[in-house]
Amino acid sequence: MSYLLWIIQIMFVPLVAPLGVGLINSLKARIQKRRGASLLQPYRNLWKLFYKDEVISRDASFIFRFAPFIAMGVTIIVGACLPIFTSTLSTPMSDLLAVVYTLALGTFFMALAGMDSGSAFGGSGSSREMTISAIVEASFISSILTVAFLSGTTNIAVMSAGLSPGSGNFLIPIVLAFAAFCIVLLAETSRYPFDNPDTHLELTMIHESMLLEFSGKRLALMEWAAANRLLIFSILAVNLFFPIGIAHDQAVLSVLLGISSTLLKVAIVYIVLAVLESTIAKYRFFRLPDLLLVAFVLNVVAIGLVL
Amino acid sequence: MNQLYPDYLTQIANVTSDGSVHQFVIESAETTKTLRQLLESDDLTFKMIDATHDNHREFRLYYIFTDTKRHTVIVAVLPLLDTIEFATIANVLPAAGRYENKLCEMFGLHVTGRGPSQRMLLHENWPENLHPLRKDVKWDTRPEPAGGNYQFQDVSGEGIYEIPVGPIHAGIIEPGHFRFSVAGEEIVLLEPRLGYAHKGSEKLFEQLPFARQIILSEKIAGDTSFSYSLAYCQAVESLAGVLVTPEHGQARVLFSELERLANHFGDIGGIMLDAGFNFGGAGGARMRETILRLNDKLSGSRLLRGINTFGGVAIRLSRAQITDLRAELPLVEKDFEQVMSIAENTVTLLNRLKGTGVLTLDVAARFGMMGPVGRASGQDVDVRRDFPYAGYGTLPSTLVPVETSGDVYARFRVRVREVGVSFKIIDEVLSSMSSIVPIPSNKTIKLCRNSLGIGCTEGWRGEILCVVHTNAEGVVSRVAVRDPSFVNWQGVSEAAFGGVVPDFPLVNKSFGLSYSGNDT
Repeated sequence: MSYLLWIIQIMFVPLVAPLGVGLINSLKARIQKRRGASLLQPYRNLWKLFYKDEVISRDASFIFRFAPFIAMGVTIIVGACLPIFTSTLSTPMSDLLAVVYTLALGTFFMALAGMDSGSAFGGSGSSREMTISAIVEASFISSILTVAFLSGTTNIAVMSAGLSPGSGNFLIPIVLAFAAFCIVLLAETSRYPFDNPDTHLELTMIHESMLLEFSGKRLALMEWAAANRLLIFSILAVNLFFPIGIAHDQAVLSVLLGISSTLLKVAIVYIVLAVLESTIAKYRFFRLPDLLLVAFVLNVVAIGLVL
Repeated sequence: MNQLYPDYLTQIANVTSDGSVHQFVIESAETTKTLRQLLESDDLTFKMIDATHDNHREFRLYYIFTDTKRHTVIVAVLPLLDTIEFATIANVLPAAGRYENKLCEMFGLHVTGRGPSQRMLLHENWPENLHPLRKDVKWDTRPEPAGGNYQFQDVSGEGIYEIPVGPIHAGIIEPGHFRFSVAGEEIVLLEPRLGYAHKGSEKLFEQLPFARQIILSEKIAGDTSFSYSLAYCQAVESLAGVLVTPEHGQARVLFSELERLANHFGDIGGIMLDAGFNFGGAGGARMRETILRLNDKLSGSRLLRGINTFGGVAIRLSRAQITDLRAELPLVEKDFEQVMSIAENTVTLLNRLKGTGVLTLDVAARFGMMGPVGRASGQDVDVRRDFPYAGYGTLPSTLVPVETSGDVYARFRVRVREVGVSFKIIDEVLSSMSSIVPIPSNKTIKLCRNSLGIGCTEGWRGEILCVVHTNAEGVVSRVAVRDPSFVNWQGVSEAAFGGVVPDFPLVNKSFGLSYSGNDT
């Protein structure tokens, strides 16, 4: 049973993530009164890219060649350490700081790869990405820290078990920290209002401009990694702050309940994202730090309430 | 006789009048003085400088002005005898500089009184001493790549770096290179390098048989096909003395406004999309498509090609088609109003548009910016009102929306308000229109000899000029076209200055300029 659970645990993020992107795109199309592509389109895109030839700049070094594997690898490792459907599968990697900095490692290599090819867009994308991730890091850690204080552990798998849903005293700090985490989620996964994942304007891009030089299999890995990243942050958001329905043992029924409740909660996050991206415009670049400051203040208040 | 002429012409001898065109020859020594006199008059607006080259190696420059009060065209002709030098007037009239550059490049003339300029239209691989619009250069010349060098302006300072963008872009748009000099994210200098879409259209006009020139005129800027062929037809009609019946004038108004609607929808949607407001972007694209399909149903061409002919329109409009159109347009108008009411209530969108990419009235007036871009900066100009053509007759001033803030939002608002005006004009035209019988294409049209005709229309980007010259046999010897983009591109760098790089695509989109029209 444990082996089977581990297989599900490891496969869950990479297999489900493209479906999530498909869901967002399809909902956005509907809101814009378009028919839109099928939910499965992201899988087809990945399939197509894996069969395409690659063009790699002569000036690119090994970093450019390896960055996609690091980015993808990081999301698979972190994906396997999350409390996806059960709080019982804990690894040494499930530590709060390990998760945050393993993800940062992926961002770091992606930014390096953006600069590596020597194109002006890659460089400006990397510079913007690093600006944002430097500001967002403190909020990221401190919002999870609120939950860590409440549950008395920095192991995120155990965290989701320790937080009982009915404890009313914790509600306000949890909601505040969750709000802050949502802002972090938008920034870290390059969604609105920070970045526009659909844009073709190379001068406004943040995440996408780092990927401009990639093609074929490496581009597929990069896009897959971005989808995984979105799913990882969504799972963190729903299962750390609201671990309702998550399995606390390894019985078949509770595991099934865990999986379906996670899927449902993540779907809600994705629907909110799709609505958000259809109803607001992207922010000006220099207004973004203000938003991240809001996240930080929320965290300070939340932690203050807990301590 | 002199009483018939306005004040500014009384001191000038040898004025020949030909309908609404007044021509006179000026001495090269007195160019600046005479032109300065003309510019002092409030009634006159500078339009363009054109040139011709004849087989006797003589160049002539044409300084073209319009008198908006009397609806006449004033042309000052400067023959260059045994010389290729002419004095600049850019010091008194900055808007003239760009035309002077173009003539130097295309005709190999030399402008005196100011420094040399960079290449504007021809690529650096085109040889220095080969000037395509000279008569002794064959149209199909294929020179060896010259391997020249284009020197971008250099900005130096701590932390300043350059971002080269284009000419190939990430989206499917026309080619153009932008060189940004940036400090952090702030734009210190933007230098657009255009000319990649130069197709040699003006040279091609001289080669094509008369009957096919009208087709070429539709391809100067493909999204403005109708207004371009209309300007060309008007120039030829004035040369041939062909009159357009009121019904056909009305039909031309109808198609002009349909063209404006489709493109304004596209631009309004484009501005919202580039600000990241996807809902509005999708709405704009949808409404543009609706109009294009209506165009197709009416004329068999989505871009309204093949409609204009000398004397009117060459297609039939039945009573049923007109009734259909009257039923369908209100649906589009309602759709538009709904999308706009959502957009105007989206704070994040307005926040992106307001205060971004400001173009002051000062700059707009200096370059003579036109169309929605000019009007958004307070330039109260519109050919439909100032120089009526086709069936526009009396367009009241209230129908020319002018904004003063000069930012992206102003350019957005001007377009939105113009869409409303277009619906109004179309409704008026359709209510009095019963059916249209096509004009048979007239191949034996006779043109005045040694003359020039000018066509001027308000395309959706602004004023389109088409100048047709004839030689001693009454054959078209040169066609010059001037796209509004040719003038308005000068404002883009001004509006981008001081902004941040991620805002530039939005500023650029709000200008909505044509590369093809600029590069011709």
